[in-house]
Amino acid sequence: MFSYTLPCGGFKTVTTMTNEKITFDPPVYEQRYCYAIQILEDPRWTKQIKKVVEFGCAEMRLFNLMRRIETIEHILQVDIDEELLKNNLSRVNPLISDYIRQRSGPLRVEVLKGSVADSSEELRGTDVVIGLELIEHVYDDVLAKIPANVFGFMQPKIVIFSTPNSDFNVIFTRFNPLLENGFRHLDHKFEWTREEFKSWCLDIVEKYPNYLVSLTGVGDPPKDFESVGNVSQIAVFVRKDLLDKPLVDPLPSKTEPVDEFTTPYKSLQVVDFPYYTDTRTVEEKIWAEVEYELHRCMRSEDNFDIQHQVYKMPMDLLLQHTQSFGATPDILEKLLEENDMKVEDGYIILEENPYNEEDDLCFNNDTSEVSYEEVPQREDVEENWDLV
Amino acid sequence: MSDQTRGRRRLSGHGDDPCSSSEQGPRPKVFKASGSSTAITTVGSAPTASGRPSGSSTAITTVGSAPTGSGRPSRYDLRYEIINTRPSDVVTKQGTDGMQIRLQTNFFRLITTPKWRIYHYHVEFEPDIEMVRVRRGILSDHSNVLGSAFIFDGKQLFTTKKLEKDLTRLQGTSKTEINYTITIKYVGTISTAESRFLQVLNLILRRSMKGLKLELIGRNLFDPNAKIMLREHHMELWPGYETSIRQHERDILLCTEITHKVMRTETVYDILMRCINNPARLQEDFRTNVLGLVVLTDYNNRTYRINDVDFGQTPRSTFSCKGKDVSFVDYYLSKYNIRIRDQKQPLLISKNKDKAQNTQKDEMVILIPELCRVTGLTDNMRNDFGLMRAMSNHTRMNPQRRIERLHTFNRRLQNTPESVKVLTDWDMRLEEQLIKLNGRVISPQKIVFKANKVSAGNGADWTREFRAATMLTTPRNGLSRWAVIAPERNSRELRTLLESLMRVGRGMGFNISNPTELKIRDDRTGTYVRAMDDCARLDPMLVLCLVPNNNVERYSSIKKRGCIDKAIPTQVVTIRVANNRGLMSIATKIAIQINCKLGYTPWMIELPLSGLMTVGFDIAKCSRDRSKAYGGLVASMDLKENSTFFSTVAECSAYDVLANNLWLMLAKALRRYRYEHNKLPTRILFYRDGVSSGSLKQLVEYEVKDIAEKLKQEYQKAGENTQPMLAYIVVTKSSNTRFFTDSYQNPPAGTIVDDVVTQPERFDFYVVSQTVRQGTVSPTNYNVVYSTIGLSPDQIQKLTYKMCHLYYNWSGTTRVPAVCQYAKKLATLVATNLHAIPESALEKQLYYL
Amino acid sequence: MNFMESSSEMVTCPYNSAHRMLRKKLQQHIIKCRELYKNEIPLLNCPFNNSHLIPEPEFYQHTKSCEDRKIVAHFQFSESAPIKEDAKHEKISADEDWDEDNTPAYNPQVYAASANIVREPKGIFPAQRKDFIKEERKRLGDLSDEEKMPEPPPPPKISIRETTKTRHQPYQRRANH
Repeated sequence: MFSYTLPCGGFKTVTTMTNEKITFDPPVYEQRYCYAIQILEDPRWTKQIKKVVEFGCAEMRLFNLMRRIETIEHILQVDIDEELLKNNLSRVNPLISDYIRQRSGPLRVEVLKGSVADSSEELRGTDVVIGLELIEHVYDDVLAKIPANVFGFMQPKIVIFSTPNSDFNVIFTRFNPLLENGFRHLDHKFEWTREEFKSWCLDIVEKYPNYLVSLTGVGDPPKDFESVGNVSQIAVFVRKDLLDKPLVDPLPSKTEPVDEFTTPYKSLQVVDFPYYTDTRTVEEKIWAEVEYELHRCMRSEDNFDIQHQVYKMPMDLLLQHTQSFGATPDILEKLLEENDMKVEDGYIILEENPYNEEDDLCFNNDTSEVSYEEVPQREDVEENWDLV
Repeated sequence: MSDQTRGRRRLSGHGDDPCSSSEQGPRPKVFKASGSSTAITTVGSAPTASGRPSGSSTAITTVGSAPTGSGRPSRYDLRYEIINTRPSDVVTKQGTDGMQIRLQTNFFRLITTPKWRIYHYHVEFEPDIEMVRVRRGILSDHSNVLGSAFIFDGKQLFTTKKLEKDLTRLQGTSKTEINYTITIKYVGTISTAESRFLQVLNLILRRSMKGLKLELIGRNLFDPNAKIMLREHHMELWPGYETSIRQHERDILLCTEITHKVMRTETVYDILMRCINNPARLQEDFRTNVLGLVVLTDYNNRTYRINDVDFGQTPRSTFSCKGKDVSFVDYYLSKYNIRIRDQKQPLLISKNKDKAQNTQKDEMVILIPELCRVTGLTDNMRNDFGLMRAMSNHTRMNPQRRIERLHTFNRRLQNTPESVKVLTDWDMRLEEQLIKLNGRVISPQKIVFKANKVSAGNGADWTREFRAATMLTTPRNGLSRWAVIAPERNSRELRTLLESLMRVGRGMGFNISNPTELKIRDDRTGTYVRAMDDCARLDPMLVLCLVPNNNVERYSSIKKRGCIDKAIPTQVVTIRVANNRGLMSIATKIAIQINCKLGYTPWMIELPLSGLMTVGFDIAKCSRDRSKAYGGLVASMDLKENSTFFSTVAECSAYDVLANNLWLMLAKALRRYRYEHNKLPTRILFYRDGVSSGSLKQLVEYEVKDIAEKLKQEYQKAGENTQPMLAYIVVTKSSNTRFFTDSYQNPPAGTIVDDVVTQPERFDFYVVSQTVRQGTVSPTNYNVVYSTIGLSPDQIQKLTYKMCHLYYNWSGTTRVPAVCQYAKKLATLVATNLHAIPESALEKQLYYL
Repeated sequence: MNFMESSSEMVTCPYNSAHRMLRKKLQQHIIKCRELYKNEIPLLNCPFNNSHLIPEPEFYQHTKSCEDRKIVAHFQFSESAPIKEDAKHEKISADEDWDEDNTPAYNPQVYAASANIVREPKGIFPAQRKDFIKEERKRLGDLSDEEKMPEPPPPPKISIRETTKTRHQPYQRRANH
């Protein structure tokens, strides 16, 4: 056992209980997601996390949060329910804006149909395993195989499991009885007390001494009922090398064959997120911004010096707009000189584009050439003759 | 429609057609084309097959027995069959004049199954689900019932398989453990005989294109992986495809056009940061810069229009989410793991207007500047030549490149397994080759000057010839009484300009005398306006203002003074022009413009008709008041002997697609014509621009019928003993149709296409009226929605092309008839600068050039 | 007149005050209602603006006060340009002379009605469109009218090649007569 605290020191959440109901703010599921994300973003190891596998990903809601972490390169979304995955496949697609503001590193997302008990090839080289509210949905035979697969075959750096705390059920039953199976959810095969969960976890670290476990939870108990513990209990397993402690067993080799009785996963979708590694030097980046600023300047007649028939851009304004890219007066001066720009009395002097008969402003001849092919959002009037 | 008409092509069961084989039963509807890859050709060359039957209809009953051309594809049999039953008096819309030219187009033929039938269902969920994605998800759990090929848009379901019962109830459960009852109600079948069938085809195509890894933005699909970055403009260009499946002259065709989407990399926050330089005007500046912008958010694929800015709130402010108060910062962190960096930025407000229609109340959406990406171009950017040039350098494609891209699109679609599966599931196939067809090239027109006629040449450009010619008409005494206003310090520039003007004027037979010069001390707008008032007393024919730059406010004020208050045409010239190396060429243009502004004519074309009035109409939206627009109408006099134009403009509502007071404007033009010619025009050729093809039916109901009727009354009232002869032609510049020659070039100016890619229910044709040096030329589509003008298709086509030679700001052809170009120019000047109706005294002068 | 108020975006149909719509939908709406109510509610068309439909008693008043009257007023009261004789010129001769031509217009519907093509639905009311589609099905040989037909068999999966063959047979046979 070890004691793990979130980098932020812990959540500020509110649990309110009245005679009619109990509410959690934010909702418990959100607290769970947030907890998992915080672990992934823990500066102690976040740079070492490249590949994350989530078992029981269901509608892939956690994915939407994980994919914002720029250093993660590979996310596997695994669930046993193929239909459910298929219906939510579009959730792992990049958004339009992801192509505009691109990630700085790659991200591959694979959606796989498979069981947490099966050691499939795809699971090799995983850094973090997440299984939120998963284990209580599986039967004993599967549950029994989880430790071997996760801690024996995969051996990731971090494992996060969460499961309901049945000690808390005394609070829930004040408002609603448990379901006919005696649990909170019809598909639950069991709900563990804190002791039961702890002993499952301790069994694991005993069998796999490379790991240390820390037990915690989300969904605080209401005031005066602290003894029941959290709504949801969470176990965080950390491989010892991550905490600068020596490993007991050697790590698995990449070539070790998978168990022949295992069922391979079925890949439903692979998505590569767009990314762009900006290889430009700082100066190149600054110059691109300078070009943009100078171009903008020439768009406004306010910057036109009538007497000298030139556009003028104040240096300090240029600096102000390019500072965030690392520009300094010296760099700007150097760049302007390199690019043969004239600077006078703190202004950059911009000559007009040489007169070109085709873009003759005076005549505004819009028919001389086929215009550029921008796609204006054409407001096609639908032909609708039905009475409104 | 009589029974006889209906029965005559359909043979089964009826013994009335001796050719039909009766054992056929209901014959499969022959849907679109054979497998032969040879495309149909225009048949203008073979008069017997051209559909303009010369003799009796029986002449063609020798169906396919003796094909005239040896290699003629067998599908001609099908066409013979149709022609066979056509009454002999039916004329064709295909012309014959001009040189034949072999062309390719950006169309592919789509082949579907003959007895294709789609079952149409209406789907409801109980309880109701709002999100289309969720609806789709739940329904797709039942693919065992629905079959492999079905299309569901959230409400309508189309299948290839008929469900067992007309009313099917299914149970579904969402993961949020809500049980749904899905009711699938049979609506009917959609057969290949009705237009909804085409909508379904478009849906299927859209579905099959999903496999191409393209992003849907608006109505079109774009390829972000092939984007072009324009860093120095903070922009990206995404190439994409615009596709549409339609019934064309004989076949169902897929039109594919390569387009580009402009994406801006700026966020609204970046704009805010620019405004911060001037803290006193921050709020005002920011508002003017962002109100009306359409933004794309970083966390979903939706776009919003910014309607307001709330400076009183920040991302730390809270809003109510599921009954709890949440701050925007926390909301975006917990929902998307997005951290808002600047927690002091103001918030943006978007009112969703389309929803207001249903709910009668505005739905407000609050947005964070940092998370909003700006889309589209502002007017400022559109007017930026540097930017536009940079963009067109990347988007412009010559025909060769464009054809390659079209083939690539086709190959991608045919080689992507996911796409192919969709198409085969629906028994569809796309031909691999571009459609080929025949066009005709009208020979170059003659440009008539005062003393000579010159050929416009194959390039349809007479800039060079013009330098040696005398203008057709100029004022008898030239420009004898006029004034110039110029800042004192620009005397040198003024001198150079005047000298050049006089010199080029002499060369063109236009005598320009020395003007009265008004030197002003400063270049303030008020100074110019006062100077104009001063010189108005001299009753000048024209006032020229030399201005330091293109300041819009000054330009507008000068134009207002001239057009509205004084009825004096004005010419505004910037000092930059006078300083330019190319001054002589500019001076030539200015001299022509001045001559036109006085009401005279540089050149004319040969017209085979007398008593013809050509009219153009277009609309421009008001720059100041979003609810207003201006409609401009420009009408020619009888150009055979009086090469002048009448121009009028009226205010209208920006909300109306159709013109409400078109008749009043046309009536004015008619009265002017009668005043000048002592009779009403024999024929009226009306070109209507600025209306989308979706409104055609309404246009006929609302504008054309009204005009035709009132025209009749007007002729009766005037005591004319003839009926007015009118053609009403809708002009469309934005058509996606493209033509290329067999040798991958742009077709020459004067190319006409009136078959294959035209539409069967229209009297329409395409004209390529311009020569372009770079890129691909855009043909203009003309749709004759009404005609009593008594001219053949050949004549209307030729006349239309001729009318593209008369725009005096350009010594070459224009994309639309000159009257439309003038109408557009007039409406735009009024809508962006004048905001009021110009003086009637100017109506016979092209003062708005 | 309430239906012309431009400030608010919702307007009311001049024929039926229960019809409320966005201002931009007014024009196409009027076209329908004009047809629908032409016998019941005879509204008069304002001579200055086609979208102004006025009950007879108010008509005279409207024509006096109509906003768009200014289009005509402007024309009547301001000085129109004198004819410039020097802007006229000798009659320009041309190679062709079409003055006596009078060709009847091409009517696309004649071709469309007999061609093997999908036509746009006619009419402005749903019922008219339904009838049209029925007629079209008959016209194009789609005889399996769903009301009469027992149960159309699901479309057989035929490959394109087979399809092409079945399609061409009838013609080929006819060609060989």
